[in-house]
Amino acid sequence: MRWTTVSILLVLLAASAVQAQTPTPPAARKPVPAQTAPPKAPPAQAVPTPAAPPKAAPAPPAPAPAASTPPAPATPAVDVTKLGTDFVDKLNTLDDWRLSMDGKEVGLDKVVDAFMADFAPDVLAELPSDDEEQIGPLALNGTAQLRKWVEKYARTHVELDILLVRQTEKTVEGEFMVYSKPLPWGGVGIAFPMIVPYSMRVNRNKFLEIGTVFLQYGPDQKIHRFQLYMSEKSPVSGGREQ
Amino acid sequence: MKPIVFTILFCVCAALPLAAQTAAPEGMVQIPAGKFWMGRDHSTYQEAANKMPRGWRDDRPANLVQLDAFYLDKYEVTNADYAKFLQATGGKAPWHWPQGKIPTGAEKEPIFNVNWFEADSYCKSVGKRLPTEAEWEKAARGGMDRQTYAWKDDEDAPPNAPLPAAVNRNKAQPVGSVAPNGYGLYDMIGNVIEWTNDWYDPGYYAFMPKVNPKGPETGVYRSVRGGGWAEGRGEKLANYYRNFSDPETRSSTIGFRCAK
Repeated sequence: MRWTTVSILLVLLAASAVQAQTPTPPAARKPVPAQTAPPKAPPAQAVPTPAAPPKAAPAPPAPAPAASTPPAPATPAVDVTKLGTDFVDKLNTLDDWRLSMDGKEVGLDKVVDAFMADFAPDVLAELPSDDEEQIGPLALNGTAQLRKWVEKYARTHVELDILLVRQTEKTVEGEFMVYSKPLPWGGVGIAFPMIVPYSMRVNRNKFLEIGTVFLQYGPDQKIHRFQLYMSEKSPVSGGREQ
Repeated sequence: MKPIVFTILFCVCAALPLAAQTAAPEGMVQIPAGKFWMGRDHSTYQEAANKMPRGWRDDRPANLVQLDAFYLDKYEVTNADYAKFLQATGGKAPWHWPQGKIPTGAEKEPIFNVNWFEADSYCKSVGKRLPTEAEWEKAARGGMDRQTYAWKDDEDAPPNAPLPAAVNRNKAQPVGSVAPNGYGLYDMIGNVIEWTNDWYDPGYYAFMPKVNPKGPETGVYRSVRGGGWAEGRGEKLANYYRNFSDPETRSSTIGFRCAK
């Protein structure tokens, strides 16, 4: 009897050990969705797309072997926001020069040269006139004419604090509103609204204008077309009297 | 007696400067000194829709330009005038004159087929000069500042009404065939297009001098102004319309008049 009991116990123990190694029938298994459900999207490295990944996404993994790498997008990515902010920055530097004690213009050529460096030699520009004895926009052909306008602007305007307009819908952090379009003939066109506060050098009277810029960059990264449209000039109160 | 003599003397003295101002040389009209808006002061559909080639914006912006008084020929220089010049100087007759003579019955028609140099020589030979582009435009406006046309803006005219200018013809007409403009000048618009003294630069208006502008210092083409006999209706008849020609060109649509 004792041996019989011991044998039964040994058989039971052996059976339970075997049972532990044998797969559990599905009906007896607890569902584990996280492991068994199919993935919602394929892994990023498996189906890369030309579009940039969302900002919040982690950095993409190391590239797969060459055989499975898709071709890169044909045109290099252009940071249009940077084009816009750089342009505004250069506009704002146009008053960064001074008159010496003996009346010489110190640094004017430098800021004008820096601004003009972005333009193609045959640039076409349509710009507002700041002359009370002129009616209509200035249609300028080439950098020689454009430079005259830029020099006059730099000589007559000070305290430039031009802002590229930021916009927000519901969140606090605003976006630079730079609109862009790839051009069929190469390059990219961008447009953006600006807030343009400034003072006149001659009397320091302050003004505010709202404007919109259209720029067409060629494949050479130079501006081939420059259009600037400004609203009516509004005097800003609180400026120094003449 | 004394008051009467004094009054007469006073009147004579007062009238002398006035007479000096208004006594224009024969065949010329005095254009008064003053400011006027030179160029096109408004946008057009073609321009706004970006359908206008670059050079077509050469008439913008409009500039408030100050000119001294000057004299301008009442009529375009005629074949008869030019024949006298050739007789005196021994110059070459226009190629379209048969045997170097004025075509029959064309004595009063404006001279054409003369290049800029020949026009310039003619004016100098009679103690005059070619007008500047600014002078020409002020004269063509006839005192109607900021108007598109010398008569009135075409919006007011029926589409098929005859225009007060020798345009839309088969050839040039005798000078003075239609009514003069506000300054008493004939054919500023219509008949032949006219040489001016200025070099042509499509971008000149953007930075032009505002007082007695003389045009660019140099250039390739000379400015010509005023619609010609071959033009139909439209912008080419506008006071502000600009055009240009190689100074060597002799054209059947280009003539001239002189200024002083």
